[in-house]
This record gives sequence, structure tokens and C-alpha cells, in this order.
Amino acid sequence: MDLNLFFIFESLGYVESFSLIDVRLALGIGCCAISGATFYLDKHSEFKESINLVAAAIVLYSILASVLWGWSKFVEKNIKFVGYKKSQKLIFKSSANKTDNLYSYEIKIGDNEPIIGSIEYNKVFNENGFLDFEEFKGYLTKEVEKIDKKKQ
Amino acid sequence: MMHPRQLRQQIHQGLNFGLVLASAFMFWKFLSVLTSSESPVVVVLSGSMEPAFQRGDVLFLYNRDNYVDVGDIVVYQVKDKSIPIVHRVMNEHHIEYTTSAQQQQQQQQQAKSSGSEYSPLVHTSGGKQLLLTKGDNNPVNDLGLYGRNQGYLNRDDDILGVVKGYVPFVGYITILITENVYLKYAMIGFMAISALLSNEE
Repeated sequence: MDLNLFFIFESLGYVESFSLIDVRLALGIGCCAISGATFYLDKHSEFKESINLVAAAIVLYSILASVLWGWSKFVEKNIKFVGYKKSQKLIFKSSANKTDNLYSYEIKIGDNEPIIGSIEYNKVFNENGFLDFEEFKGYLTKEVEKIDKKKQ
Repeated sequence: MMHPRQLRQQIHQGLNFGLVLASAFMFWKFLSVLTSSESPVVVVLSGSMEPAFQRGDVLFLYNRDNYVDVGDIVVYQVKDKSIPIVHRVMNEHHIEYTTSAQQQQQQQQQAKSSGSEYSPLVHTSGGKQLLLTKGDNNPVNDLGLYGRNQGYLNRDDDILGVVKGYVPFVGYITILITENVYLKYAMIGFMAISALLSNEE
């Protein structure tokens, strides 16, 4: 469902912002680069010669990996879409419990109070297990329109 | 042309797999630095140390002690031979480098000029330990396993670590993977697929 959010909000005029995922990618690529450099060092120099550099790389890797973990856990958390329509920012969060039949979401537009809601999976998935995109889009479009009406 | 979101999703999926490998490698190097051993965990591949260790036992090494005692079980790797060997130390020699008479005089003068009451009595500027090893289950010592014209192992250059702990038989999976190429590829494939699918819940 989250993979379709982009198409839904784009149809409502929101342009996706990639700043959150870009930070995550940069941290991840940084971790892989450090690890790759350490691997190269390991292969091309004696263990005793490179031990101090490797230790420094381990410290740096630990810091970056911790920041990456913190970023995913506390900053991105359940945010699945961030978009802008002119200067108006929309943040969409979603979560699901494995044992519930509910897709829970929170939509926040600008400074308005966020709307919290949930959709039963069987309402948006057909009996073959495919997502009914229009149905799902309908739910979210209504919610966005509700916030827009409140503003007016 | 690929949409920026799709591009990021694909990079993200690739990164998930990359981070699994990177984290595993960096954890290995962390253990390596912590124990000062190039190979802090090894698997016993032969029965030469039976009954102490069986094939498939996983050994944990530590290499921060300056000297190794006779009776310790060490893992060593002779230059130009790729497989480390786990055997017991049977004999050891210390070689201490003594300083020359002139250097001793200089040391004593320095001690006097710095106001110290005592002259330095230790004349060594360093030393090395030479070791002879043998597998408990082998009839002869390891001279035949060392390099050409090598009569002893050098503590600093050849020893990967002293065995400090072990877990029995867990390493058999490594032996299976090493000896069976198809199993190795299957494991790599399984890791790749699980990393790629980890975000698809």
C-alpha cells in the first residue's frame, strides 16, 4: 500500500520531497564506503601495519551506523510520504500490527491538526489479494479534502 | 527514464544487502582489533588436536599477551601457507637483545643527569620468543609444517592467537560450506534474497 502513496498524493498535486530518504541513503552509502575501504586496507596491507587505521574505521563506522539507526528509528519512524503543494507540507505516516486487520495512518497538512484513521485491509484488497488502487485512493483523497475544507 | 523514487528504492534495497555484509565485516574487524588477532575465531579442520579439540569446534583466540606459555594451545600461520594450524606449545626460548656497552654508559649518564638515584639495570632493548609446537594427536612435532629452514615459530610474526575458549561442533557448517561449492553459493543467494525481501513485509 505504501508504494502507491506517491501516485495518490501526486494526483492530488503534491510533489514528493526525498530529503528524509536521501539522508538515510547517504548514511548507508557512507557505512558501505568505510567498510569497503577497510576491506581494501585489509587485503593490501599487513595486519599490524593497518591495525590503527582499522580501529579508526571501526569507530567511524559505529558512529555512522548508530546515526543511521537513530535516523530510521526516531526521525523517519513511520513517515511514508512527505510532499509539498506550493509551500504546504503534507506528511503521511502509516503503521500496521501483524495481528490486526487495520492499516493505520496519520495525515498532517501544514499547521493543521493531523487526521488519524485506519482502513480495514479487506476493504481495499480484492478476493484475489490485489490492491484496489481506486478504493484506496478514494479513502485518502477524502481525508485530504476534509483537511482542506477545515482550512477554508 | 527511471523515476527518482524508484531509483532511490532500488538503491535502498541494494544498500540493505550491502549493509548486512558491511556490518558483518566490520564486526569481524572489531573482534580482530579487540583481540589483536588477524583471525580471532577459527574452526578446527583436522583431528590433530584430539581429544582436546574435534574437527568442527570453533575456537576463540586472544593475542594481546606478550608471551605464550608452554602448554598453551596456539593458532599459527606460517608465511606462504594459507591455512592456520591449531597446536600446543611444547617448547619455548626467549631471545633478549642486549644493548652495547656504549649505549649502557649513555643510559647511565642520562639517568644521572635527570637526577635519578638509580642507574638503569635492565640492559635489554627488546626480545622475541621462539616456539616449538606439536599436535596432541600427532606422533612428532611440527618442524615439518614450518617454512623452509624455519626451526621455530616466532611469537610476534607467526602466532595468530592463544585459544581462550571454544564451542564444540558449531563450525561444521563452515566446513560444509568450504568443502561444498554449491552450498556456499546457496548460502550467499539466501542472504541476498532475505536482505532484498526484508523490506517487503
